[in-house]
Amino acid sequence: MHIRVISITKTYGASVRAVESLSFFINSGESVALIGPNGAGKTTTIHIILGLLKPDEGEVYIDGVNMTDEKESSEIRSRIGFAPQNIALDFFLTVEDNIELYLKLNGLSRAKRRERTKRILELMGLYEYRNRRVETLSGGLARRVHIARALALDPELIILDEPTVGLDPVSRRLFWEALKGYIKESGATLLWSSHYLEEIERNADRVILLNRGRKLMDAPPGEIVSKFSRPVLELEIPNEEVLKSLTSRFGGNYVNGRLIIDDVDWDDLPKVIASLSKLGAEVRLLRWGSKSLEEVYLEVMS
Amino acid sequence: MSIVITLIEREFKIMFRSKLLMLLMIAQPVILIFLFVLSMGNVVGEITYRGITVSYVEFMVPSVVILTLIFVTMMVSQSVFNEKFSNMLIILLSTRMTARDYIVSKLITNTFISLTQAMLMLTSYLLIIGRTNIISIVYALPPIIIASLTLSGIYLSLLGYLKTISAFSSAVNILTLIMIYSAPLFYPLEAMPFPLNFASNVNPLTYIVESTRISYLLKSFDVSIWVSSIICIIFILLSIHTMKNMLKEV
Repeated sequence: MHIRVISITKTYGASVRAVESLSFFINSGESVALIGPNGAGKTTTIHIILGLLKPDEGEVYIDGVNMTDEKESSEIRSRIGFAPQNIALDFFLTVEDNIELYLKLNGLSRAKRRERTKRILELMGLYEYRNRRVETLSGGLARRVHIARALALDPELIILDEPTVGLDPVSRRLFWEALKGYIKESGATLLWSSHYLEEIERNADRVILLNRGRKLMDAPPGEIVSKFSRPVLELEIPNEEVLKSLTSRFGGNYVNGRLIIDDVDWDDLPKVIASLSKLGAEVRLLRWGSKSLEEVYLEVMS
Repeated sequence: MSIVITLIEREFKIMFRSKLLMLLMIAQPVILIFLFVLSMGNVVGEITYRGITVSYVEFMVPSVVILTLIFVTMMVSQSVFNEKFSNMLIILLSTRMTARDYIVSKLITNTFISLTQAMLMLTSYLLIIGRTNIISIVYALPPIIIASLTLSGIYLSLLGYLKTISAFSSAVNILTLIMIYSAPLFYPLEAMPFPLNFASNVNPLTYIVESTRISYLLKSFDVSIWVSSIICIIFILLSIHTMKNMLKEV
């Protein structure tokens, strides 16, 4: 399933502009992450895509279907698995009832409901809890049920709003393993939002960075990192004269006997190495690395 | 239609799983009618209503039923806010369910729950107190259904219009109080003082109470049942309209 978002704008009340002239395209089978600080417009964008909110301006099409039209989008909604940010379950009902009712509301037959509920509960490691009321489950288990329900539809498009918030690292890894397994098998498109940037770096094909309702960036995580990332050089040189000379030419900070040159320009790198050789420096440590998506994100947002 | 049925099934599943809620639902009308007859039974004697003389308790039975309907429909309507805050409304709206399906299911569920309570109350009045008869209950059934739908329509319209729980609670408390005291719930219309008698003309509850009382006491239907039917349709349409607008902005 592909998504085309065309210049959507949404304002709450008189002055809160949640989303402004936002456009992007998501190809079928792609995994796209929406990132941005709180209030950036991620949830509003997701709700507009799902047809839950009407934009003031602009349109959203999923597989060519206009999502702002309730009747037109009714059928396509049953092909989209959605899990909002906060756990939304009927707490008095059992795990199985929660999933079955959701499938029934999406028009699935009794036999299909049974089969898919069983399959998804097994995939998510929830089968043993199927007859338990949701109110008796721990927060982590309830979140797994919340996500399992979205996947039970066998969706062609999965939309998850901060799916792993509140999960411990092991559960988060298990969640991504299960989700990736599902996507590999089904070829589904995935649109999700998250604040866990290392998770995004690992699992997103593309990142859309939002701030104050506007799109700041739209590129694969690797591309964003390399665009903003500069190598960091860490040198341990026993000769103080050499250190002074390097500092005066390339800047950097002298910390614990080491010279750390942050934000080295790629073009300067051969010059640094040439200088080291010219000065006859005895280099005990030469370490270099690039920035993570998180560091880039913090830099861009600041 | 199958989606509306699924939504109703969901509401009842949730209700039946909560033992406390079930107990409250069954016990409340029985206790209410029992206490009412026990406390008021001998306080006021007989009164004349539309040419017939009836005991005050008999006169008040339809009123107690309507009061129960008011509180049940108010409470059940308010549950929409719970669904909104728990995000379940978003989940439901992300399925094939339309806003209309949701509103219709709420109207039907509200009506069914309040009707069940009303029937429980009348049945316990018949079985425990033994003062009424089956025919009166059967006659009272159509206006009680209309009353349940109208009250659900009124509260859901308000809910759709006011959008926040605090605004809804405040408005409902004031409005319900005015509606109760400007309707012939506790005394006949003729005995109502000014300006309440004037307000009673535009009060939907007046027609609801009158149609229920006439059918229950006189075992007949008069023009008030048609007026309350029209009011009922107006409020159902209004509730669909205002709730649809509210559901667009979840």
